[in-house]
Amino acid sequence: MFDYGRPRELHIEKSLEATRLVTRAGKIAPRVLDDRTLLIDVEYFRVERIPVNVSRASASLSDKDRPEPGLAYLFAAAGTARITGPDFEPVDLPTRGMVAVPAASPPSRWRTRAAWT
Amino acid sequence: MEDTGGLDLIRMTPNWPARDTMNAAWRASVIGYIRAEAQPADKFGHQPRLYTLAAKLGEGTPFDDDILFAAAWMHDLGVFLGHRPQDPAELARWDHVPYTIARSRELLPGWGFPAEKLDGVAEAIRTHQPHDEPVTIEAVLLRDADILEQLVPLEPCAPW
Repeated sequence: MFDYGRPRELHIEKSLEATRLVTRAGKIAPRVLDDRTLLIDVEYFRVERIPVNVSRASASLSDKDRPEPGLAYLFAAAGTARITGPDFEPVDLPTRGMVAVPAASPPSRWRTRAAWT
Repeated sequence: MEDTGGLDLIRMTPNWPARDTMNAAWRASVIGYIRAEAQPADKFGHQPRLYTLAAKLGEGTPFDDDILFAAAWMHDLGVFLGHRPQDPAELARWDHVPYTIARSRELLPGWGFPAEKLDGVAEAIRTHQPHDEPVTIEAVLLRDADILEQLVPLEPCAPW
């Protein structure tokens, strides 16, 4: 506890009482599934690595434990993608680019560059 | 990184609590109604904070979350413009609680709220004020959270 030299009382005992000494911090091993790798799946968020060879439908990655579609962010870690669907103009996702997919979005298809050029 | 034709996508998604569709539907209706009816506009905002706070107080206790949610969102309906009397003399005598209970009993079933829980909502609203003596667990949580809300009216909470 440090208060930059100011003459205020330091509540060290209370701070220690409120301190969580054991946390879940640390490396978490990825879980390899049939169609993707689950990098992390914790109370508040989930991060997955999804390989796409030529084309992939978003619906193919629906989760049984998530009956309601939700907001998702897609990040192109390698390669470039084109996101297409029947109800919207194609969206290009450059390498290391990111798109936010609203919960109300219709199903889409993700294609590699080779699949649309 | 060179684009060799393959694609690696990273998908990040928030993990929202699982909810069944019907449950989500009536809750959305309650929120939508209160968002529209809470007038003047500063009357909106207390409800989500209150529910979040009451649920937090109730962690580890066997409270009914449906009752708590409905009561927290509906409990002040009778103080909104359009619901309370306009005449100053009438307003001075106005007891918003019976009105709020009656309207809640009318409105909630139409949104799909479980009918068997209406009495629980009415009871929680009946005793939600500081001078009341709540009997049910949801009523205790609602009253205590309402008192805390008045002490710390701008505590941040999750968005709705």
